[in-house]
Amino acid sequence: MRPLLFLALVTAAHAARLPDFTAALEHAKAEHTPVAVYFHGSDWNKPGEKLLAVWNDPRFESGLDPAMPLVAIDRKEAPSPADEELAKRNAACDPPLRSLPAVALFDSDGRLVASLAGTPEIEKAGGLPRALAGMLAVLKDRDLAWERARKSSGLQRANLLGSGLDRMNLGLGPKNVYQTVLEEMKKADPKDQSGYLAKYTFSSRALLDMVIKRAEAGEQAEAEKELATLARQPRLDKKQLQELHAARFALYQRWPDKKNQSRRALEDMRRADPKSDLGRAANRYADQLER
Amino acid sequence: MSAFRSILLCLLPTLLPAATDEASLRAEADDPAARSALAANELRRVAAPVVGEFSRGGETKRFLDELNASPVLLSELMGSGPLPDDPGKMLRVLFELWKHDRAGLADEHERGTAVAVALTFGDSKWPTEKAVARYDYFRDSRRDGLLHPMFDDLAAWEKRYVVSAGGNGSWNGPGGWDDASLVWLRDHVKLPAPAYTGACWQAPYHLHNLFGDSIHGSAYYMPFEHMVHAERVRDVGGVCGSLSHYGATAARANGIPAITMGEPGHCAYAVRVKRGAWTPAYSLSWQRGLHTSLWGRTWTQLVLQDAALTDAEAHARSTAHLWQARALREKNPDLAETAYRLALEAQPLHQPAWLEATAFLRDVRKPDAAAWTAIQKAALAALAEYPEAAWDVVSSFQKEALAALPAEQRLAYLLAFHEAIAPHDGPVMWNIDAALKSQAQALGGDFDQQIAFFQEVLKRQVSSKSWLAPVVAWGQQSIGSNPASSDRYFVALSTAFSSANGGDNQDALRSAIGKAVLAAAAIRNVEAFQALGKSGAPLREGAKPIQTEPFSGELLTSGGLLVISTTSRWDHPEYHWGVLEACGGKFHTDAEVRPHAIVRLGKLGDLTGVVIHDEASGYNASRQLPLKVSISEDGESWTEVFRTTEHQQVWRIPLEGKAPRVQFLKVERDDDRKEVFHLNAIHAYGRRLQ
Repeated sequence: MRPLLFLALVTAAHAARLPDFTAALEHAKAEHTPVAVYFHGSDWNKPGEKLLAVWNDPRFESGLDPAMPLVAIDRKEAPSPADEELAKRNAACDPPLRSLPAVALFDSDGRLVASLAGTPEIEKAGGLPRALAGMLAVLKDRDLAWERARKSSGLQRANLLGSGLDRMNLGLGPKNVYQTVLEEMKKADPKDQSGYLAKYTFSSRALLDMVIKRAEAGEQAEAEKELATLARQPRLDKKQLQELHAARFALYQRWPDKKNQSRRALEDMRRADPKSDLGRAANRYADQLER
Repeated sequence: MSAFRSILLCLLPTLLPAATDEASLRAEADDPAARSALAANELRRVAAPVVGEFSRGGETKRFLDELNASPVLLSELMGSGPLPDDPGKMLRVLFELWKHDRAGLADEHERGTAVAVALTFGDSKWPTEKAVARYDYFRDSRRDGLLHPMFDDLAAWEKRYVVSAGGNGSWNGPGGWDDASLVWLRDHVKLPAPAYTGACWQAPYHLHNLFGDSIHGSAYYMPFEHMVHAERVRDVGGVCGSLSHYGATAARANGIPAITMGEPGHCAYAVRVKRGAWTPAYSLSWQRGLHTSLWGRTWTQLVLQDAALTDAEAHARSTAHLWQARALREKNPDLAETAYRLALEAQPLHQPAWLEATAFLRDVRKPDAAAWTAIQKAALAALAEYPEAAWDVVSSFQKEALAALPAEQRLAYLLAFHEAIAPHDGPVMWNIDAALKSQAQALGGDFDQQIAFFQEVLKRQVSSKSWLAPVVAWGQQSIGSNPASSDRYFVALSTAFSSANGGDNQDALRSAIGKAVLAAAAIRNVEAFQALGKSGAPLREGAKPIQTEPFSGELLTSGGLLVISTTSRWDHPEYHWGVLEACGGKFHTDAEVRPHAIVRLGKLGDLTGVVIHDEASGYNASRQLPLKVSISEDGESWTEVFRTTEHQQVWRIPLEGKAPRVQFLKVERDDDRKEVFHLNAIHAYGRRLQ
């Protein structure tokens, strides 16, 4: 029995290596599995070819769901007509990648769940197999939360939907693919008691634009009020809080009566996450003001 | 060996028999060994003090011996485009690299890299002490397989566009685009070569950083000094300058030639995505001043230089003749002139050779009228396909040539330039206005002569796809904008178009301006479209100004360009300009399937909304339906943002957050009917990103 089972697994694993994203997504929809994609460039990207050997190694499949499709997308610089045909079947798989090689995981609806772009990011995740394992763990946690959300309502439902988004750490995803989740949260929790609506509609740029505009109009007090309201939102993450304090700093710098509060805004920003880039930036700015 | 003998050996090439006639000049330039000797002579000529110093013995002497014994290294050093402004420094840099990695320089890849580094850091603005690190970066990155494979095949002159990564063509130290940024970009931004033209957008366009500090102050990046500059540009953001340097430096860090370049009020960049294929990126205008270049600062020179240096053998022979000419200028000007002629024969596209040779003729040989006419004819024959480069050459002796010519021949002499360039579109639009102004002024400033000149130029350019619109626009600005002479401008215009004889014939004027507007649109010449659009404004008498409610931000279509799919007998192109402006205007296509209008915005922008105005009613209103609106950053790939089957006089399309980077708008009727299409205004509002 055992050898047969092993053979079946191996066969299934091989079957899951599909030639293009369209085929992989059809397969994923039918099997309710995610799709793992490896991006490389065989005619120009040497680091990607080293990792491709790892991706193509049958040992890479061990521990993976044999039904999960694996696709390698070759982004050639000089594609042949056949490559161009293949590229059309991969056109739907276009996550925003800043570097190649890259690995990405999509759910069975074709939505991006996680991605790592460039050798440094993949290496930092412990290499290709571990990187993919980490992504699958993210998906598992997300789906667990969303499965529970399906059986819940109201505030609890919004919390579970939000925690699923949190797990991916993609905001609303590329091209706002998770906007529908936000809409579901709105329906479940119209008053945003969970704080997730505030978190997933937070825009540091909009905040800064508001501060600058209001300061120009002499409406600093109104801007301060808006910032204080937002600061009470319970779900903002550390980075969002830091960005909010940076906007406070920008406001006080434009408010002669309260300019002396600028340093406090920087201190709040630093304290939110002292070792982060923004924490260190706040610290550096405070030093500069001291001088 | 005595000191005298060793100096003698270093100078050995100069002791080779000197060429005495055209045949021996040719023989020397055709023979690689003799060419190498010429290169050594030239090096000694331009860097005599350092060559002398190096010849005195020790390690520098061994370096010179090796350099002279290596024709390939010497030829690469001296034949990879113009030398830097401090050739002695170049030699010192190469010596440092030789000392650092003598064995490495035996490899053709490393040798090319070393030569490119020496030529780059030989510029007086570049720090000698940083050259070895720059060489090491490219040597080690290549050996480790971390560069784009294109780098392996680059010649030394091509590598000059890679190893010069930095600020605006000069070294950028800590806190800027230094070697740490190169490493970071090499490892974090690895893309197919053509994709580097979009790499700038990995960094967000932000005028203010998170602290509310403007990029124009010193505090924008200050808080983030713990980060590598490239990384902080990606994470903090920047405006056009930072973004373009990010894109260009990312390409160069990966071994791909790239440059940054200034445009009016903007900084853009370009990537050489494959041999001979320089591709502008984040570019908003043809008016480009390259920050790094071998031949000059214009786009035309970049393209021309690429074509010339790619033809390595012809360029090597041409350059060898130049070296001969320089060596002969003082002692044998007759033979020097022959050498210059041979340099141009060997490679007619060698524009710096043209400039040098004609300067020699102008300053030393003083040609007569017939000779100047022949020289101009030869230059135009060689460079007419690159009109801007041709103008650079002929304008360098225009004053002397005109002075030598009898007054009655001067107009014909100037018009020869237009006859030569009219059939050619050139690689890019250029500042032909300045050429026209210079030519008109050279005729003596007589206004009648200027109008006659304009009329004659128009006749020659009337069928030119590229030059008609800017010629008409120049005429409008220099002649037509003056109320005292505008009638004569219109007479000249309508005469050239052979559609009427009098300046009071409004239909003839409309027709002439209309043709020029369509020509400007066809070649995407925004400046000419704008100038002609404004000149057509007085012809729009009686048109009702439109009333629309704007979105927030500025009117980004203003100052842009309108291109419609077809024109028709109902169309008045002189009204097109107004379609993009607050006043409104009109366009009218012919009956066709899927007619459309494409707007190139006056400014790249983050849109808040689009307003479309259509005064039609009844059946005519149905011609616009179903109406579809799309946006694009590059004018090629489009994203639909609006569609309707219901007619309104004013469609207001909110786009806040949906159109973050838009340069083009497309408005079309999306069905299979063969029908005309017309609108009165297409207005886009938002925040500019330039």
